[in-house]
Amino acid sequence: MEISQMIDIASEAFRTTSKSRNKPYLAQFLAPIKEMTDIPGPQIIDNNDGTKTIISFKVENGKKYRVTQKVKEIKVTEKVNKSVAQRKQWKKFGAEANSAPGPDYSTTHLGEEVLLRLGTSWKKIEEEEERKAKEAKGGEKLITCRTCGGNHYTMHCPFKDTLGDTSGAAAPDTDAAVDEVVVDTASGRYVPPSRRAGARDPSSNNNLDAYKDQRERDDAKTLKIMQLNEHADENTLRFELLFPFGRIPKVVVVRNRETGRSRGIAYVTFETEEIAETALNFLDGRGFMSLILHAEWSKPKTPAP
Amino acid sequence: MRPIMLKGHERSLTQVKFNREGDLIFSCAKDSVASVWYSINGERLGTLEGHQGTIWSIDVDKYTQYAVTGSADFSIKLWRVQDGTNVFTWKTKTPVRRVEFSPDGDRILAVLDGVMGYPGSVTVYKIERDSATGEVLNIEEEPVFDILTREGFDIASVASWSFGGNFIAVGHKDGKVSKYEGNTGEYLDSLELHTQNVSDIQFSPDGTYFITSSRDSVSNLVDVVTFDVLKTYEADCPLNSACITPLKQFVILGGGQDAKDVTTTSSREGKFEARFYHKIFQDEIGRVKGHFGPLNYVAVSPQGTSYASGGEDGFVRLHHFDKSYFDFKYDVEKSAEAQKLMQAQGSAAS
Repeated sequence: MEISQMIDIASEAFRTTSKSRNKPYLAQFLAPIKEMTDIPGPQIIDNNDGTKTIISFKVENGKKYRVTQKVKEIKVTEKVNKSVAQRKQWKKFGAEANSAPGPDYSTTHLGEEVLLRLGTSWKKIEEEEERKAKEAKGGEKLITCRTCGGNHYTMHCPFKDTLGDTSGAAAPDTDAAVDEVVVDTASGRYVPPSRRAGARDPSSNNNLDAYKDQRERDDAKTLKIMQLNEHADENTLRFELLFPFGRIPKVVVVRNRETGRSRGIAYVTFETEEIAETALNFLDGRGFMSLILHAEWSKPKTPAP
Repeated sequence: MRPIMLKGHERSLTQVKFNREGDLIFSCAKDSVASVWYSINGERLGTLEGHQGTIWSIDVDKYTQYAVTGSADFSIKLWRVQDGTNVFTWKTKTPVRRVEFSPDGDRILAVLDGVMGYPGSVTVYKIERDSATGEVLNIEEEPVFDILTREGFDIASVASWSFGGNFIAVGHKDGKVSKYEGNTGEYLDSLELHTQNVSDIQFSPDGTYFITSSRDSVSNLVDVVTFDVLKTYEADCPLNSACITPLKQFVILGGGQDAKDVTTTSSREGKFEARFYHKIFQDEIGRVKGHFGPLNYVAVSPQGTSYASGGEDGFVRLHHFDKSYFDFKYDVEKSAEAQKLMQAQGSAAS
């Protein structure tokens, strides 16, 4: 119900009153008329179905418009307590003394819809809804175990020891691996070029880009880490193994060009030579993802013949 | 249900009240200005300006002619509601924590804090009013009586009048609730209801029983004449306020984590929700979210069609109930009604 109208009505104090309001319920037609003549007064036509058609003219920007409105009058009757109606007529005071009638947007606004679901089982319903909303968002799918597909880090997989081997044994089939990648692309998920099927192996020397990549590497600050778990990718290394060494400008895991599988070797470039040395001492002979790492300084490669 | 948010205060709300017809809302906050609002659309009618400190409490008489405010600036002010003029000011010895008109509007009780050597009291002032128009004729500057804090009681934090102003129910800081004679201030009875500060006492529409709320997360319904505990409602957070809804058999509790802990928790954990309990069955039947801080006061309109909550976040949220609220019934209520209908039909047929 319209509020300003309520106040108007209230002023009629406890008597049954009727007010009419104009409600444009069909449309408002604006049609420019070329010739500039005098503006005739509005013309009101009563229609048979209880509506009225009002035709009026107005001039705007040097153009004359004919405005056709079709309105329907609706009577709204309301009974209000006499004292309440009187109070609606009160003048505003204090900080509001000079403000216009009607709610001021600086002090009054509508809040968002809230639900009051009455019942003894409201808690259960609410929890159920929350769970569903979470599922719809897919928030839980952010972490997927590469061993069992569960909602935890691969590192913390409870089936690490049992399933971890079988998945490793089942995968080496090259066709299967390629298929997997194809499926990934079809699902619309972004797969970085380096991980796509047939991606160039940075370690193979007959590849120019990979060679360039290696040449750019600052060998003085770079370690070669070997005997890595083949499930360890760049991000796993960054966040689970190398995070104590500050910013890591570059991590490259060497992969098989056909299958995209890790060959268990990674080149890690550190911020400074000192950090690289600390890392070397820390990593060499250390266990990571159930394998003992072997770390050494990366050596400059000779260009391919 | 879409709440109307009233943002007229710069600091946390301390009290929100409806007048008798439920068309006006009176709110006061820790800033020193009180506000008057139309409840139908949330339009602000005006402000009551003149206090120098936090206004702890506000009340309006049954004719909506005068409002009274109690402030931390050691004063109680009487206002004419129509134009917001300050009619009279009582000076008090200590900050005023709660003020309330007696049901007939010719007495005002004030809860005075117990600081600076003053033991704290519930003090009653008298105003002489024209019986026909309700206009104030004469105001007595001196209180009619003081109920000083008794031996063995902690200072009073809240107080309220019963039906006809016959009794005064007082909630104390140590969780006790006591009862005094309304005309003389004579001590009648007390109950050890709560373990912590009684944060609010609000009477039922007929003034025969009241609801208490406390920081110990419990709310009680107490009969004022027999002083028996009728019902108990248990919540999971400290409570700041409670009210009894007319029309439906519900109570609304409001509260939340202490203001000082709010910054360390999210609103979800803070439980800043108004809780609806069934008055008879004592079950929690629903919650209304929305505030970003604890609810300092909840008030329901005397018609039972809307309720307002004032929060620590500085907002008053005014809710007009939906149809579903009025339609809600327990299964036992529904079956009892159906049975009644069957019986009526049976007797009509025979």
